[in-house]
Amino acid sequence: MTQAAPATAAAMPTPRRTLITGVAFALAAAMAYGSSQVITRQIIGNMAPPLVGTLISLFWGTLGFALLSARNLGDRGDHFGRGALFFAAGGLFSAMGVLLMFYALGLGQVVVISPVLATNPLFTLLFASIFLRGVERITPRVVLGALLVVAGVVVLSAF
Amino acid sequence: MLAIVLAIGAAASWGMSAVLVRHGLRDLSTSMGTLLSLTSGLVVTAVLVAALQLDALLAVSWRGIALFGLIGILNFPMGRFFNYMAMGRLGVGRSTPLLASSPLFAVMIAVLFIGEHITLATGAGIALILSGLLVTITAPK
Repeated sequence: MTQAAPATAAAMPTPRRTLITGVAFALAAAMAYGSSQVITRQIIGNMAPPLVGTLISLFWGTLGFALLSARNLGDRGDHFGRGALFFAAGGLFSAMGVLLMFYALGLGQVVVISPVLATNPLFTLLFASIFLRGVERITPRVVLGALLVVAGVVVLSAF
Repeated sequence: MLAIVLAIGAAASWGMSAVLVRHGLRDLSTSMGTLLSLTSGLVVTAVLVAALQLDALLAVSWRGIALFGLIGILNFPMGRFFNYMAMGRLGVGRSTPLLASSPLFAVMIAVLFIGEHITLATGAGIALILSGLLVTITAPK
């Protein structure tokens, strides 16, 4: 598995190979998430409350990932503490998002809540433009792409 | 109204999570970062379940545990690791719209393997997502 990206990598032009592998990884992630959505909807049904289901999934996922990547965890780099803090905080925000989603779905209708949840890429771009200034450039074309994808997901989830 | 505010909070939390991870990727390997983010999420979720839904956890069947395990493997070792790999290569800006296309794959799988039909609205949604992906992938750095 990979080493930490150098701090200057984002400022350099993306080589073609990096672009292709990056797109492939992103689409593979989207496919994995999409498959789990289908399994959740079709098979799991009402086997457990969503929060409990998330805990069991997270447990197996964390265990599986720890076993698969055990040999690649040795290199800690020069700024382990700082990086660990960012990733741990990222994990906390992610878990908080899941919790808020469950409460929102418990209080409102799926047809209303799902499209709102689907707007999360727009928040990502907004926060990236504020907190990743100097690290990444959010171009109008990237914003347009995100708007089109969000619109498509909203249409899929609302109908 | 409260439900919508909570949903906006969820969307904003995921957005902030992605930005924090992007910062973390400058210092740690994707493997280590994925494991740390999974572990922190697991701890928080475990505390919440212990406090709010412990009875429900103890009542889950072995079949349920196995199926949730399958979802866990798809979502975390595969989904989240590939997500961070993409983020490290493309940055948050370009990887975010690609990752957000997961409902497109859910629809494709449902049509191919479960026999669901594509409606006009589904077709329009797919067309919008595909055009968004095209615009993002071909965007200059």
